Amino acid sequence: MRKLAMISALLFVAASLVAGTSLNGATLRSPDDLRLGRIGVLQGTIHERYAMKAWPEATILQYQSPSDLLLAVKSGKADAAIYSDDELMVMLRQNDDLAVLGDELLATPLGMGFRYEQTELRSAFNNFLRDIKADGRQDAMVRYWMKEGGTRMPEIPASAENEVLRVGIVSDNGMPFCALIDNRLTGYSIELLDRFGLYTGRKITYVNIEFGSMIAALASRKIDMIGAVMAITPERRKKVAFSDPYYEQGANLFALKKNIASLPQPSTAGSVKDGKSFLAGIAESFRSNILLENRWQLILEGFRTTLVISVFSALLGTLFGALVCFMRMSRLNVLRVSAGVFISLLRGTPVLVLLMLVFYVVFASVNIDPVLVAVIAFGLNFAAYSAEIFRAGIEGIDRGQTEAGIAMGFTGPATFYFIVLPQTLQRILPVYKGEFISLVKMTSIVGYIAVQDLTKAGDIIRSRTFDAFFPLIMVAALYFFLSWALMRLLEYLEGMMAPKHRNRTVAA
Amino acid sequence: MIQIKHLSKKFGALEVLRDVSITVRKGEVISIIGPSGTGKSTFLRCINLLDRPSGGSIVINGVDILDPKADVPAIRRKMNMVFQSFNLYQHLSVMDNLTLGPVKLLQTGRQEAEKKALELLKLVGLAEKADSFPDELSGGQKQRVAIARCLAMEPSIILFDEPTSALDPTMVSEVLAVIRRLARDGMTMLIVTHEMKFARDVSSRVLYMDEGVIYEEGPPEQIFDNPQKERTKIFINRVRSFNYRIASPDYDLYAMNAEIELFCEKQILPLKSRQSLQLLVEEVLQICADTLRSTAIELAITHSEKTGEIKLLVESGGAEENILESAALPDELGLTIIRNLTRSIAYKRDGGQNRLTLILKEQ
Amino acid sequence: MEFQIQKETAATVVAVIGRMDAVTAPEYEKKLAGMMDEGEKNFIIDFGKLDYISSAGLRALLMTGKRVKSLGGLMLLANIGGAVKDVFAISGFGTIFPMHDTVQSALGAAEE
Repeated sequence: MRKLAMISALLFVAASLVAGTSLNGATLRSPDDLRLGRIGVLQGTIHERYAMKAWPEATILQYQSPSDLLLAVKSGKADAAIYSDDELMVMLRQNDDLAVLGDELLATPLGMGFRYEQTELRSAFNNFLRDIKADGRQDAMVRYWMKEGGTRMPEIPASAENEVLRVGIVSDNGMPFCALIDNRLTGYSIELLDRFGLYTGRKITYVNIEFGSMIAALASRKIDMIGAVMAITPERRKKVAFSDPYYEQGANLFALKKNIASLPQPSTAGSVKDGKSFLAGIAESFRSNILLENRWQLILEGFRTTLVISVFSALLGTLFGALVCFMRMSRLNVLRVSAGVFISLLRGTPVLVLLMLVFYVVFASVNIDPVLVAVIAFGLNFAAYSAEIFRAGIEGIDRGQTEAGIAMGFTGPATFYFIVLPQTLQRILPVYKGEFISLVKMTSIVGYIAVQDLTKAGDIIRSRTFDAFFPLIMVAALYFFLSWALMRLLEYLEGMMAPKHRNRTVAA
Repeated sequence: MIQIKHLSKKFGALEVLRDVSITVRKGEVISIIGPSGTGKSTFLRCINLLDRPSGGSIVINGVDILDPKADVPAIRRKMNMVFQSFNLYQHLSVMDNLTLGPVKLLQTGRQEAEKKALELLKLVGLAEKADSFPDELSGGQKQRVAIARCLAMEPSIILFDEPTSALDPTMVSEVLAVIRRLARDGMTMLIVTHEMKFARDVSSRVLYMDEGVIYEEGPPEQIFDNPQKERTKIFINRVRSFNYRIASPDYDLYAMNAEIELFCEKQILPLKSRQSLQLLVEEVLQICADTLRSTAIELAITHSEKTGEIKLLVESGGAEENILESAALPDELGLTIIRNLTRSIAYKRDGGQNRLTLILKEQ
Repeated sequence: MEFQIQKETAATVVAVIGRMDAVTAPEYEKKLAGMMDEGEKNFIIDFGKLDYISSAGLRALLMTGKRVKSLGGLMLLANIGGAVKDVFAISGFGTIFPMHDTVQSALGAAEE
């Protein structure tokens, strides 16, 4: 009871803190009113730096994706947010409770990114750009995507050549530059890149990467060029050789309409008229988030990827963990110490950091499927934990059990296999199952190395539908289902391993 | 069958066994007795190499088992061991405990192994526990299963490492009965034990071990009735005792009874002896009620493992008097009971103390 | 020590349960004295559930027996077995009171 009271007290304090700093009512007249407010930006963008300079005293909140940014403003976590104007227009079209605040903040040129030694590729792109500018094709593209809000990709034949050009993009960046529509990459950037592929005679392969990891991916040769919407800045120039600008992009602040003073406030009567019933709302969310544009395929694909990574990491981790466990329990100092170091290192490293290290450092110059990298990284992490679980399990078995086996005439390995192992398994399974479920949930960070798993699928859908909550809840439900199903599978295996004991406990 | 020569074993600097030599012939039942910590268990564990000897030689059926080329597991299959802590395989049913060895090691068919196992369980009186798991058995039952498990491997010799030491006193006899039966059937056995009476009954030869050597060996009659060497004598004739001090006539009779009970249980005295002892003590203290007003009384109960004799010593301060004779009694009831319970009553004045020695009649 | 008391026409049957030793014997004396004060004078003592008796217990039996006699009543002992019987035997107490194998036979004797 006391614990409950304490928790609710904490919640109350937290709630009042949040309420205290948020802006209530229509208080925003111009961007200057954000002086002490909270401003959302995309992490690693020039917006972030702009916001820090323009509102030095404000709280700058960094988000990973545009849909997170949107969610933050909608849920009141941020008073306003900065976003590129073209994408913002698309976003506002679908969210009538948001509006632009004030005038354009800044205009920045966008460029494709290359490594400095790739002079040939870069000048190829610049020549291509000059050509399409000259013959008016670029103007037509800008008109179609930016002004008319087009959503259909023109048919551009892929280059017949086999030489691959790996281009890093952010698939949940959002229209008009790049988004998944009908499970197909669509938008101004994509058209531009596809046409460039045709122009250079290379087959474009799109690699989906978090924006913040883009430059690292280029440097470690995971990709050949950056095709994401990236502003040309002096800092980035140090690492990236940019093409000529292919677009000039502005940025605006946006906020909830009801917080903007200069706008007519939506009447309550209107909201009642607009208000759909709860069930109808769910049905609409279901339609737009799952059925529309065949988004369920995306979810299914993500679900499968998460399942594959979870199961294979667990398998690899278990086998490798067993090996490490034997090393740890070996009589040889070398083995014991190295296993100990391995375990301490792996357990002391956040798995996200480990994942990035394996992807960007260990396999930097190897063209390797990121799913495999994820399996290796999570497998290593799982190995460190399962090795210790195994060791505790084995050491927990009474020495007399081994002695009885040895005295009966079993060899050491046979004693382990017939007597110690079955008892160990019985003991460690509960802990092991818990660790396994943690692993399943931990895999949700693979988006960082360009794997489209369940979480990422949810993000991509959010970036298209701008539905803040439904995709998150759906993804949560799917994770729950996956964990549950895998748990049942493990329990089934457990039952097969000790059929007699199990039947008996059921009977008793 | 087994020739052991100059066996020694060190744990670090600690020399547990020094120069142990013995030959075991087929059909012999050898009990190994002696104070704790003198290497009895280590000696046994060296024979099947659970502990590796530091020196000497062990030849079993003509095979030198310390030879690196010797197939030690094969030798162990013919020489199984029963442990103090039973060590039944926790994850297997009683039946599977018995069949695991034969099926995996002797390539016996499962059906045949189970048929044999059931016979052995009948032999130890536990056929109805075949489907139970070890954690559902009492200590005595566990040890009997362990013996049956041993027999399932059809060993030609069994090593018993204090088979009853971890048991409640009430369960000792059921286990000893099974071992006695094996002895009768001619099984070759080496038994480390603290049960003197059992060792005397069952053995063909007794080894008295002390300080890492076989200090004296011989037939049980010699070791128990006529030990030749000093330390053996002391060990064999040592008595177990129990002391209790009573300082007031309002003493707690039930607390004292509970302690007498506990002592008797530890000594595995029959129920009859326990009751007689309690009655004797109560009667003596009744008579001493007056004495207790002025001085405390020290009670000591001793039990000789060798002779089975139970003695009650009553010691009190104060003036010289034999309480049993001088007390002003309302009647002779108490005294009659005391006289009839005891074989002898002796009074002695010793060092300013009145000392009464009562020896309980054999029950 | 506990008692179970059952009134029959011929006598009151008192079953004594547990131990009758230096600690509990006075309880027994008090119990029977109380019943005698209420006018009971014929007793059958059932020893079937008594585990232990010492001289203190015997003495208590003796004292109550004397009082019963002085009231012109009757006290019969029944159902004595096991360790209690041994104590009766070695103390020579068996000859003082009439003893019956069962409560039933003691009741029969009391009726006569």
